[in-house]
Amino acid sequence: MNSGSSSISGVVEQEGSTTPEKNAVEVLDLVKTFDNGRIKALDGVSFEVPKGQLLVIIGLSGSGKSTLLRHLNGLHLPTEGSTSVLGKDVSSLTRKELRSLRRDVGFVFQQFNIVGRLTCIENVLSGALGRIWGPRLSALMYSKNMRSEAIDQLERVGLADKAWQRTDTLSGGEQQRVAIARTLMQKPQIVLADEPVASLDPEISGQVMDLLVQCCIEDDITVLCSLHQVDLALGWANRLIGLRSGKIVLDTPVDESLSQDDVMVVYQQLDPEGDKTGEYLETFEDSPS
Amino acid sequence: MNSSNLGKIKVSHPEKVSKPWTLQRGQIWFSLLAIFGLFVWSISRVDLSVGGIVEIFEGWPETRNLLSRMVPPFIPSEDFTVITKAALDTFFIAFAGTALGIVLGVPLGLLSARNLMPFAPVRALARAIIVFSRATPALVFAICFVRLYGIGVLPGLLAIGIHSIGMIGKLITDAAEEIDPGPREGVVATGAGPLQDLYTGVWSQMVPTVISISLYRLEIDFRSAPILGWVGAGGIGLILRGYAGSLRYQEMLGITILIVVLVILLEILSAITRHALLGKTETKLPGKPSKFLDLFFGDQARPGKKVADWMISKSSNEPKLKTRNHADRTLTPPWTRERVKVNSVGLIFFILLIFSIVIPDIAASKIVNGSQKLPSFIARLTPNDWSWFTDRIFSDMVDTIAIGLAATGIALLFAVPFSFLAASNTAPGRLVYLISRFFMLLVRCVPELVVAVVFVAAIGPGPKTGTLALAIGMFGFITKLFADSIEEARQGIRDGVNSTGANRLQESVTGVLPQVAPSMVSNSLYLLDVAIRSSTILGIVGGGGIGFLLMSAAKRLYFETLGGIIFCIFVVVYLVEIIATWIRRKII
Ligand SMILES: Nc1ncnc2c1ncn2[C@@H]1O[C@H](COP(=O)(O)OP(=O)(O)OP(=O)(O)O)[C@@H](O)[C@H]1O
Ligand SMILES: [Mg+2]
Repeated sequence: MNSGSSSISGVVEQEGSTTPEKNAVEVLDLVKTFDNGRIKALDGVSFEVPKGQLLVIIGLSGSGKSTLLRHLNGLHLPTEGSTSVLGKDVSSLTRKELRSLRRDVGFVFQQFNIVGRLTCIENVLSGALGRIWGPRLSALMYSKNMRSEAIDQLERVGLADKAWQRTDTLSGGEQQRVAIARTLMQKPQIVLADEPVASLDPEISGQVMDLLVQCCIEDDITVLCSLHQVDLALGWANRLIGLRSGKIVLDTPVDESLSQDDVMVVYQQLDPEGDKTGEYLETFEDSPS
Repeated sequence: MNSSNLGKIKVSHPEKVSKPWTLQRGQIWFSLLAIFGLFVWSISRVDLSVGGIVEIFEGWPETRNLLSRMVPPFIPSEDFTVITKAALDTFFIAFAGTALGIVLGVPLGLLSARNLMPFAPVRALARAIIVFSRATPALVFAICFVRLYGIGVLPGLLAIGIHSIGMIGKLITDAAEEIDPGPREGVVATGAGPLQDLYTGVWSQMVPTVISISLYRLEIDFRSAPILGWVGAGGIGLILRGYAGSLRYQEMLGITILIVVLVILLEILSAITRHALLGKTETKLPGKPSKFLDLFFGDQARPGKKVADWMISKSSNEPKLKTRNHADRTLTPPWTRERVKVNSVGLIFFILLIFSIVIPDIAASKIVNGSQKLPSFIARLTPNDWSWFTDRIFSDMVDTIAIGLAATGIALLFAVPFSFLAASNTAPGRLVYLISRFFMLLVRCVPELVVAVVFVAAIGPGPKTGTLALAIGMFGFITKLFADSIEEARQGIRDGVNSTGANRLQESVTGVLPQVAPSMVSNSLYLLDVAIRSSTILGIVGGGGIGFLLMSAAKRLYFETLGGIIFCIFVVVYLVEIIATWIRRKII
């Protein structure tokens, strides 16, 4: 198992299906501390994501995945180092520029972060707010074209028939699909997904991941998705980055040539004490391979 | 190993079995004891200790004589049109006043919310306005506005509106600060601007709370509007005062009953509206996986396989997820029963609001004229020195506090046992429960100032009368809160007590009382807060306390005295609120 380690870690090569001229995301020596430096959430993280890549960031709870993703649309500002997204240095943007960057960078949250009281279509339409000027009090205040577009997006996630239903009457998986439709409504170039399926049960998780990734491929969207289950990560990535205590401990392309031994290395890197390895193994052996 | 450690801890600290006597608990007990001492003091101060009660009984023949002059209650037919108009005006005052309170209070409340307004000075200013409107009774505003705008509906409407800002603003601030930040973050992350964030991320979450707050305030304003006419601010109060002044007791009682009936009707109306808008419990449907997605589900653990397939299928331009026929989609919300209901309620309220502004015939010139005088009026209210502060004002302020305290004490004395009869889980029988609830509802609908008017007529003016009237009002207010919290008590603990063979009384006392005690103490402190607010204005109708001087200063145009008294009221009410909130926070 250890022999595989050197051959995998440190490889920064993406799958060759698309050959982008430019990187969608560049992170350089990113350090983030909380509580006046007492908590170091990110500790010198550097990587680049070419356009069109499906990157999955894995790591145990507290390894810094959310913190990393939140830097990429300006929800956090770096303590040290820099993040550049779509060619713009995030920390140097004005409020207005940040808003315009956020239009191009969709975010899918673990807790969905939709407004439960509103109808599905209203939640999806709110994804278009960045494109228009001024607040909207109800769905009818958006143009007809936009409403039609919103239904299209709901159609893609399979929820067009629930467009006018209150979102909190939907199941968790369906709510996350509404959130995905909202993100697609933005017409983003990048989607950041922070553990999008962590609060769903395993079966629904697979469905939602399928949907997210497939839609993003269709729309040529670069995806950075954090997950904490390795088995899920393997299914939807063409590159894997492993975080441990705020540091990158692993960076590997994912394709069918990845052997089970290689996967064991992934586990090893994320969790050297091995407390959780048994758990991981179980899920891995349960699933068909 | 763990268990043995635990055992050691237990053995070495046997005293930990009883609650530790912390500073916190010391403070609570000290405050509660002090308040109890104050109750005892206040009872004698308002002359309701043994001697005072004996006096009431000694004066009974006279009281009975006065009371017998009130029955049968009666409304003269020749005054019918005037009374109808006054009753309608009262409704409009309350309705439009509440609307004004919402229009002004909601923005102020949002401006003082920590998570919405980043600039501390703006927050502080908004909060100051809220605190001032809350601590100054509507009747006091009414007295001032009558001076500014003349007798009529307008000052009443403004008084209700300005005073309502306080409570609405405070509740809106609380509601805004409690919203879930998640959906807001979701909206902000799409690149939405601040106003878009406010509407979609914040406001849409708050709507049910705002409706609930507004209806609650409307109910309160329906109860306080009828008396405003007493000081000339329009509506039925003016007629009540006319009859009381000319000693037409039968008519006075007739109007009192009319007011109570109206308040009950409006309370029912509000309850129906509340049910229509918010009644539906927001149930979440259980999750069911969609068949649509099953197509893709299957071999997720195969590294990279599916992704590669999708990439290939994309490049080979295979059809995307099939989209439905464009013709059969609805781009407008369907008219569900829910939507019909909400829209009709909204329409009715809108029409009522238009009526409330148009029918009372408020002249725009009056508004402009009065408002122009506002700055100089405020300047005249501001005292230059302390010469207005007389001994009489001091002793009346002390009376005011005593009335509030004594009324709270008396109300609690009756409310604690009664609330057990009015709670479905502790009442000895269904019939007792229903009768108690009905009685409670009835008492709640009698505005305490209207009770005070009748009591003053029956036993003469003074703090004693005011205290009794206020105690009745406070009793109605607090029993409902108590009974509701008893009904929320957990059944499990009671069952435990039940199975030991306790009878129903023992069961209530040992099973329920300890559970509801904290909320009862907390509600009682809130009651004290409310009672002291009311006691400041009882004197306006002769119920003792500072209200009398307030009214006479306004009548004789002693503006500095008026302003000074308003300042005193503000200080006392605000201090009581701070103390009550402090103790409540310690308890919870
Ligand atoms: N706002 C904050 N204030 C203080 N500490 C924080 C904050 N946000 C994150 N942290 C800390 O930073 C570290 C990384 O947190 P982060 O949320 O990024 O982890 P994660 O990998 O997303 O974990 P999880 O899988 O539980 O979501 C943790 O130790 C966390 O306690
Ligand atoms: Mg996280």
